[in-house]
Order: sequence, then C-alpha cells, then structure tokens
Amino acid sequence: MASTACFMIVSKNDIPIYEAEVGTVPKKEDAAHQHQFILHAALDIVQDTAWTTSAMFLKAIDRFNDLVVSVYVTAGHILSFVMSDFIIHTRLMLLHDSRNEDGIKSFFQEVHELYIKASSVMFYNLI
Amino acid sequence: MEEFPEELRTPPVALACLIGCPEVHPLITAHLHSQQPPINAVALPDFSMIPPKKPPRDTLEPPAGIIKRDWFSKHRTRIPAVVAAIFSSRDVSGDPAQRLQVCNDLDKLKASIRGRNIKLGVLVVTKWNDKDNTSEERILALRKRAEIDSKNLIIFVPDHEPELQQCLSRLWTVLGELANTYYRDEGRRVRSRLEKKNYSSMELNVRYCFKVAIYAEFRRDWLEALKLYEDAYHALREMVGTSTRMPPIQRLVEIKAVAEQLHFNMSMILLHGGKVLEAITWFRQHTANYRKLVGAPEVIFLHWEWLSRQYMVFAQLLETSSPNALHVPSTAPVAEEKPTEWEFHPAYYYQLAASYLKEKNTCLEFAISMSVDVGSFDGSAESVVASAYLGQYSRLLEHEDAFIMQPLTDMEYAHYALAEGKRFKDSFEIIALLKKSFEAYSSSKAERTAAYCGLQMAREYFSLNDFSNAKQIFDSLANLYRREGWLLSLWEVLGYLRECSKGMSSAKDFIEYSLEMASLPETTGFSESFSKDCGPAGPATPSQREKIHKEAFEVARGESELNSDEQNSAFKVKSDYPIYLEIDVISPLRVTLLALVAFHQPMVKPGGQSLITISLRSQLPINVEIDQLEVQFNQSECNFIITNGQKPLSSTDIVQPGHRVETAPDLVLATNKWLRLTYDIKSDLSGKLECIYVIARVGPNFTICCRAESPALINDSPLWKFENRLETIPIKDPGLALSGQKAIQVEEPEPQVDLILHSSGPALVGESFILPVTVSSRGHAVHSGELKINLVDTRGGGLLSPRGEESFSSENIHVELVDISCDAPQDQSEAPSDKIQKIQPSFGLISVPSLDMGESWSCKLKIKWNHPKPIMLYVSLGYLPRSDEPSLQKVHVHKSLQIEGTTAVAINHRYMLPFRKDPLLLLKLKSISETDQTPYLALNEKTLLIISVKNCSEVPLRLLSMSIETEVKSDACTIQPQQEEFREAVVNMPGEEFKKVFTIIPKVKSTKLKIGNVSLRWERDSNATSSQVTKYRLPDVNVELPLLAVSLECPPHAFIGNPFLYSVKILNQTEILQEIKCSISDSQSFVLSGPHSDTMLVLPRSAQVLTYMLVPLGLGSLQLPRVTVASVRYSAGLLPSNASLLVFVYPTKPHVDLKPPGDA
Repeated sequence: MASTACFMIVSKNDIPIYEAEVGTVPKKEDAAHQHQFILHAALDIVQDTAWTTSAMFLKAIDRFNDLVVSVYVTAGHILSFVMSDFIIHTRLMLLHDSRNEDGIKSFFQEVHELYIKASSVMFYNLI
Repeated sequence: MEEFPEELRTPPVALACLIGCPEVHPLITAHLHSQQPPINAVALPDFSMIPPKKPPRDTLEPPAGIIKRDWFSKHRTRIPAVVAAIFSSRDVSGDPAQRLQVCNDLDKLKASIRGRNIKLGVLVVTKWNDKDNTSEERILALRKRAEIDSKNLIIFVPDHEPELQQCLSRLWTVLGELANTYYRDEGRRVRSRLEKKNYSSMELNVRYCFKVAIYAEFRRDWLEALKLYEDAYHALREMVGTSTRMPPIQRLVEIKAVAEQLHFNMSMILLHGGKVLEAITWFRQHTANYRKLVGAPEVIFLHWEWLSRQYMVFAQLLETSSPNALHVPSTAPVAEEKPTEWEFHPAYYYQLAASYLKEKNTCLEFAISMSVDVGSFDGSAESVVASAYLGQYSRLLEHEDAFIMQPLTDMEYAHYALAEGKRFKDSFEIIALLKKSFEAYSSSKAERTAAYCGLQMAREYFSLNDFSNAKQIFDSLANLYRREGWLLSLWEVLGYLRECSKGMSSAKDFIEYSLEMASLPETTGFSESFSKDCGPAGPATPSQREKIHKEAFEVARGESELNSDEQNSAFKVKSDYPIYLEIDVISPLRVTLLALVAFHQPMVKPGGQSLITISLRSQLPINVEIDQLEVQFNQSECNFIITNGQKPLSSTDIVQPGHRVETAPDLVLATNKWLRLTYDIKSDLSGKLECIYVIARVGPNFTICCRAESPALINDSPLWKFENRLETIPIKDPGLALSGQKAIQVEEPEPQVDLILHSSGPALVGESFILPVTVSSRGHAVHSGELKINLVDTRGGGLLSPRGEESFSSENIHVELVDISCDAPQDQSEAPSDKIQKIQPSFGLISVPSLDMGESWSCKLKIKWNHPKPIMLYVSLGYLPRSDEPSLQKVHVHKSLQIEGTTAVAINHRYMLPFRKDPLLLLKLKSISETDQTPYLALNEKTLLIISVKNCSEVPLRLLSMSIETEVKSDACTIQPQQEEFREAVVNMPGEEFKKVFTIIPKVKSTKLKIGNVSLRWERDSNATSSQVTKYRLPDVNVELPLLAVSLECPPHAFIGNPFLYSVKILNQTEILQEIKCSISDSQSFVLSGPHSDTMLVLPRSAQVLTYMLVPLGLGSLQLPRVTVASVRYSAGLLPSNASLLVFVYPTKPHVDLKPPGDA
C-alpha cells in the first residue's frame, strides 16, 4: 500500500535542519510542500505537550484529515547535555498516514541514535 | 447550525392541549411554560374546534422515504401528548341541557384522541365562593364519563391566589405525568415493532429507532435516546450498499441528510451533557464513516459541501454548548486513539470546514466546466422543491389546479444541484470560517497553527484577486517562516507575494520578493514532477530560481514589463519610475546583496591614508554584473564611486563633480563568492569616519542601497545557518575578516600649545585656593581659543552635599569654582563680544585671546573648598591653529590635576570647674547613667572653657584672633574674654595644639542654653593669602542651680611642722535645712585637729565652715586627709579628687624672690 510520509528534524530554535520525503508514493492531493506547512503548524502543540510528559515519543499529536503528525522529542529538555548543547530539545517529526505506531516509534529511536552519533563527533559544528 | 430548525436545536418539550374556558388559558399556559421541565400548550377555545380523526394509514405500502421532514415538528407543535378538557362548574352543575352539552363535548373529545392514544385530564373551573357548592356527585359522574383517575380531575380556582398556585402546581404535575405516560407508551409501541422486527424495510428500521429516540428525548431519557440514535445511525450506514429504493445519487444524498440529522441530535445530547470527549470520538467516527462515500463523480461537490457542513456545525455546537446542562450518563466508548489537543477547540473544525468547502469549490468548478448544458435546466430548476421526506427533492408540477410532486431522475437532480451550486459564492464563507479559526488560534497563542490558517485564508483572498488583503497576511506569514527558517513554506508564500505585487503593479515589491526567492538556499529532494502541486511560485528547483532571477532583473533593467493579467495593466521601470531598494541589517534581502566594509587600521592620522576593503556577496543563482558602485561615508568628502571597467561610463551614470572615481576591472557578483575591492582612503577631519552605504546600480534605473556592515559583527540569517555551502572569508586577511570594522578613528592633529597648571600643594577648607593656569604656544598660534574648566569629584560622587540638592547655596557645595581672573589681553582690538566667561560651581568657560606663536597667557582660578574633599580639576583648551579656516576642527589640549582639600584646623573644647569647688548638680548626677552627653554648668558659678586648636594641615598657620560669638545678644551668660586679638600672631606648626581659656558664668537657668560659636581667624604662614575664619559651634549646655556647693580651702603650700588651716565650706542655696554628714580620714603625713566625723545642719541660704588645723609631718607633695561630705536629703556625697588634695610641703620657707622683676 502506498503511503505518504515526510520526515523532518527541527532544531531547538525551531529551524528545520533536515527533511526528507520518505513515503513510497506522494499522494496527488497532498502536495509535498503542504507537508512543511502542516509540520510547522504542529510545532505549537509539540511545544505544549513536550512539557507535560516525560515520554520522548509523543505519538500522534496533530491530525490533518488522514495525515497524522508523530513527534519524538530528544531528552534535552529534561537532561542538560554539557558537551553537546545542540542535541538539546531537538524534535524529530514525521507526517504519515499509516497507523503503525510501534514501527514509527522504533524508526524514531533509530534516527535518534544515529543523530546523537553524528552530532557528538568533535568539531562537528551544527550551530 | 442555523440550517437546522429551532425545534432540533433545543431539547424537546412536551406538548399539552387546553380545550374550553378560554379565559383561563393564558394563566395556565404561562405557568406550564415557566416550570422546569416546561410544558408547551396549544389552546383551543372551543370544543367545536377539535380536529377530526385521521383515517388509518395503509401500513403495507412501502415507505417513500426514511424520516418525514416535519415529523418532529409535528410532535412538538401539533400533536399533544395530553389534552386538558376545561369545563366551568356552572356547566357541570347547571341544568340538564348544560350537563348534556358537557357530556357531548367530552365524548367528542374522547373519540378524537382515542386512536392516537393521547391522554386526557379534566379541569373544572369554579369560583372560590362556589367551591363548596359544586356537587360531589356531578364531579364523580364527570370523572366516570371521562374515564380518568380521580387525580387527573382538578378543581381549578382562579380567583383565590393560594388556591390557584396549588391548582396550577397540581395541573403541571398531572399533565407532566400524563405526557410522560403518552411518550413512554408511544415509544414502547414503536419499540415493540423493532423488537419483533416487525418492519418490511431498512427505512422503517431507521425511522422506528429515530421515533423511539425522539420519544425518549421527550421523556428526558437521554441514555435511551442516545442508544436508539446510535442504532438508527448504524442501520442507516448499512443501507448505503443495500437500498435500491431510489436512484443512486439521490439515495446517497438522502442517507447523508438523515445521518447528519442523527449525528446532530447525538452531538447535542453529548455536548450538553458535558461529554465532550465522547462527542469528539463520535464525530471522528461519523466523518470517517462517510468521508470515503463521495458519490457519483458529477456531484462530488455535494459530498464535500456535506462534509464541510458537518465540521462547521460541530464547531458551532462545540462553541455554544454549555456543559452539564443535561445529565447524560456515559455511554460512548472512548476511542483507542486519543483526540489531539486541537480537537477540543472549535477552531480546528472551522479550519477543516473551510478546507472541505474549498474542496467543494474546486469540484464544483470542475463539474460546471464539464457540463456544458447546465443552462438548459435552469428554467425548471426553480420548480424543484424539498419533498416531504428528509433529504429528498422532487419536482412540483401544477396539474389541473392541483400540485403534484414528481420524483426526479438522477440526471435532473445533478443538474439541479449544479444550478444551485452556481448561485452561491463560497469564497467569502471560506474566509469567514478561516478568520474565526485564525483568531481563535491566535488568541490561544498558537502562532504557527494560526499561520497555517492564515495561509489558507490568504490563498482564498488571492483566488478572489483581493491582493491587498492577501499580501498583508502573506507578509506576516513570510516573516514567521523567515524567522524560523522553514524554507519550502517561505518559498511558497513568497511565490504568492510575488504574484500579489504583480497584481498590484508594484514593481518594487515584485523585484524584492523575486530577489529574495532567487537567493533562498536550495532544497533537496524536489524534482520537477511536483510542479503541478505547487503554488504560483512553482517548484523550488534551481532552474525555477534562475527563471525568477532573470525575470526580476529583466523588469529591473526595464527590459520587460510587469504585466498584471487581472487588471490588464502593464508597468515598466523607466527613468520616471526608478526602483530603489534599501537593504539593512534586518532586511531579508541581505542574502541577495551583503556589503561588508573593513578598514585595515583602527586609527589614522589626519590626512594619512588607510586601506579600505569592500566585500560584496550575493546568493543569487546567476552572476550579476553591477554597472557602478558608490561608497558613502559620514564624511561626504570621502565618498567615491567605483565604475565597471568592462562598461564605459555612460551619460546616464550619476557622477557628482569633484567626487573621486575609481575603476574596477569588472564588477561581477558570482553566487556565494566574495567580490573584494580594496582602495585607499584619506580623511582630513578628525573624529569618526564611518562607511554608511554601499550603493550598487544595475541598469539605468535600478539601485540597491546596501547598508554597510562590519565583518566583526556579521551574523548569518537562520535560513542559511545549516546549509551545506562553502564558507569563505570576506577579506583575504583572516584577522581582519574576524575583527574588521566599518569605522575608523581619525586622530586629532598634534597640539603645539602647552597648558600648564601650577599647583601649590593641598588646599585648605575655607580659603580661596588660587591656581594659576598658563597657556603658552610652542608651534601653533591660538585662535578662537576656549578654556574649559571642570571640577569632578574623584570618588565619583557629586560636588553637592546630599542635603544641599534641593537648596542650591554655596554652603551646600563641597568645592566650587568662584572666579577666574585673567591677564588683560595684549591685543586690545579684540571685540568684547568674543569674550566668553561662564562660571558655574563646577564648570567654567573662558575665552583665550588670540596668541601668536611663542606668546603665552595665563589666568588664575579661584576655587573654594567648603568641605574637605579631593577633586580632579580638568582643564582643556580648544583652539584653531589658523584663523582663516573656520571649518577646520579645533585642536584640543587636556590637562588634569588632583587637588586634595584638607581641613586646616581642628577645634575642640572642654569645660572645667574651678579648683577645689564642687557644686551639687542633681540633674547631672541623674544623667550619668543616660546617654545624654550635654555638659552641665552651675548657675552663677564660674566654669572654665578651654578651647584647643590643632593644626591639621601640612603647612604652618598663623592664628590671628579667637573669639566666642554668642548667637543672640543676651545676658544668659557672661564669657570672659569675649574676643582676643593676639598681639603677636601665634604660629601653629603642623600637628601642634594651641589652647585658650575662657571663663563662663551662666546667668539663666535653662536646658539647652546656646553658648555660641568659636571664631578663629588664621592665615597661612607664607602670608601669600588673606586671612580665613574657621568657626566652631559650641554645643548647648544645661544650666542648673547648685543646691549645695562645697569648696575646700587650704594654702597652696605648707612648711613642715607649721600648722595651717584646712577648711571645708558648705553653702546651702536651698530654702530648706540641710543635714550634712562630714568625715575626715586620718593621714600619716599630717596631724589634724577638728571634728573627725560629724553630722551638722546647714541653715537655708547660709554657709557652714568646718575648719581643721593640720600640721605636716612629711615633705614633698603630700595627700591631704580625705574629707567626705554627704547630703542626707539628696543621698549625694562628695569625694574630692586626688589632684585637689595635693599640697607641697617645704622643709623651710624657701628663699625665692617671688616678686616680679619689675618691682625690684
């Protein structure tokens, strides 16, 4: 089954630092540029929700018709990373239409691991 | 929500009917309506107005629809649940004819309601006076005739207030119960059909469920109502694939209309019961159930309209529902997926309603464009009306004076729907919905979600060609996306803005937006295949950016016109309409052109040369060739122009005469590559030289004015922060690239004039300190010279004392500049108006006369210290070296000097009693324990005042005179001597102390007697200054009458073996007899005679003398026997001090000539 998905990493100051269309087939009516607007709008709710829970995976926090926004907030907002300040409060956002929550969670965890590895490299100036 | 009739939007209210006795109807109706729950009432004045019984319906006939449109309103307004037959007691207990009439009326009524199962109640209206006259039998007969319970017959007394209230209350209860019974029975009746599955079609199933639910609602049994609505809803959903009763399009329309109605009723119950979560879950299921049922392609717009309405109505319900108005038990299961936070906000539903309405619009436009023959149906479209069943439409035909409803075919219906769709413009409704949503999101501080609404709203405005509104919203969106660096969103919005400015024929905006778009970073993962989904900007691909870049420069150079398709107007940039863009530090166009300016040195001598590098960078995708660059400074003489060596200077280029023109080999800006230009710059004016603008001219009428920035302070825009690009430094020298500044300090010319401050050590408080200042020229002549003098507190505080800030007097200023005296200028021809002299306590300004080379001039500053305080004296001289060039800047010479201000003398005082005299001061004795340090003096007794003067300065001082000035001329006390001029000035060396003795005899008994001020006149020993006066205020004293005064008397010296008299005199100054105890201790050095220990009485105002004869036995300084005197009355004793008991004993009479030498 064809699925739509747009993945994005948003830095702590709300600037997107990585984005990728990861779905198999982008649907005709859901223009790709629309995804950015939807993900951007969802940031508001992420901001509120992230402080109400200690969980990193925020599940589906916003909906737009069939599209669902799932978010994974890195632990920076609870723990203070001394060495790698730029990992703090980074949000991994996925806009998708499938309901496979576990799959999405493990995807996020994998990306988070890779992201920490990449950004912990010394002299890797992300900011 | 307004499209639903009133009766559907409010909870159902039971209906009763009142018949007969119309005079009591208003009373009863008003009461029934005011109760909780209320009962509506239909009033029929007369029994003749009872409607005839309806013929029985043929139940075998297949149903023509699901729910009759007016079924619910019929039950709310026309079919009563209960009928109250009202008779007057006169008729009931009147003559037989009247009674017969009552029976007939009752029978007729019973016959009418029997088929419908309507309940009956009877009211007998009677007067309060006739109440007991009504026959019990007649009432019983009436009740039997009516076949009702006794409680359902009420005697109604309208003319007695307490009784009336009781009757009304009973009536409301009875009618309420009967109505409830009616609705329950009816519900049961229909329900039994459901339970027995006694229905022939699915339609009837839905209808029965709906009816039972409505009856339950009448009974306020919300739980049952919800359950039945749910059953009806599910049954209806099953009909979608199975029912074949009507043509498919109309069938789906009807099903959706009924589903909408059922869902509306359910939502109402849930939301009014405060079950928001359940309502939201139901709504989500409802939309999920029907979203995919789009129907036939030609009427797909009807589906989107329906869906949009679902969202809009739910939003309105959510907005208006007042929770907990009804008590609804929890029934609906909570969904596995929790609703998101926004799903609790009406704004979310408004936004989606708008987006579906937009979808409808798109589909409608498509449908209209596909069907060419819509117009042919237009005439007959008017005859299509809503039929008796909900969600059905039919054609109304007039046939032989009668109206016939004719069913429509699907094609006819589709034509009708299209024609209807054409009549309405949805854009304004879409905007209104989005605006509501936008405002709600904004007020809940969800800026980004509001922005998404704003985007949809602005798109709608754009589609309506309302460019100004669209631009306003797009602009604010662009700001947000720019700030947060959301590239694609920004690209999209800028694309719209570009089109808006085109529509508004604003070439400047068009170029600005185009340049910003062209210089945005590249986005990855986009290919041309998405182009059809993008907005007017097209896809954010490199080729599109290049296209936009070219378009912008074509318009800017005047090579092409800016066409506005909508307004059919064209705009061209030409000399009458030049384009001038300004780029500052916060402008989004900084990425289009960034100008960094760095001076190579931080400072330069006037007239000296410095190198300046101008670095330009652009992120535009194609190289840009600049015709001319102008660099502007704050000193306009330094401005210069750089022309492009590849292009000859044309006549249209603006080159002001006298300005420096440089030529660069080429001025081409390549993408993300610095164009570095280095030139010499020279400034004659001292001060700051700062580069303000770098102005680039491209083509004859296009100018970009870029505010110059320092490389040291540059910060990148958020859009470019994470871009993968080659970072280069703006200037070749990496040090300069990090620290370069766009401003340079041009130093002042070296002064050739000396400013000398002659200091003569520390100043003394009180004196006018003279400080000579000399201006002497070494190499410059001095013209228009000004000398500024500033006194500054070295410790940073003000020169005013804190209490003196409100009253500005010389006493309150610590240090003040009193005067500036200067030599008369040698050149007398100078106009007096040129002389400036301003003196303020801490500031002075004086003009210096013109001096030729080698001349000098001096003045004296007179500074007065009122309090000891070190100050910093700043003297600065500003002058022009040449008198012929007034535009030149002045040369300044600064000098500063710290001057200490010290106190010259410290004055102290001490009171002493006369030798061997002790007055008894009671108050003084009492005050020893207290903190009061005020000295006590005895009235009319002599007291010695010793004034000591200590030289605290570092120079010898000459004391000239000392005096005690009493503040008020009075006889309160006598001071001797009042004033003393020293015959020879006393030279007081540093650290030395000088003492002077005065005698004081207080004459008035007082507390806080003011003695006066000690006034000391002194001068420096150098004699260079005039004498100064230092004042010292003597503290107040208490003067008290001594009650007793004891004085010891004995000769100043004695001779061994020679007796002498030692007497103690006790003076009693009181009016009472004083008992005095007196004792004397033995001493080894003396043999004494006299009373050893005694008590004696001293008479009032008299003195008693105790006399002892002493013979000294030892030699030298001997201690006299200690006499102790104690007053019994005052419990006070006198112990004379050791010093007062010393006497010197000579072995023999010394042979010293004590006579003064003059007497010899």
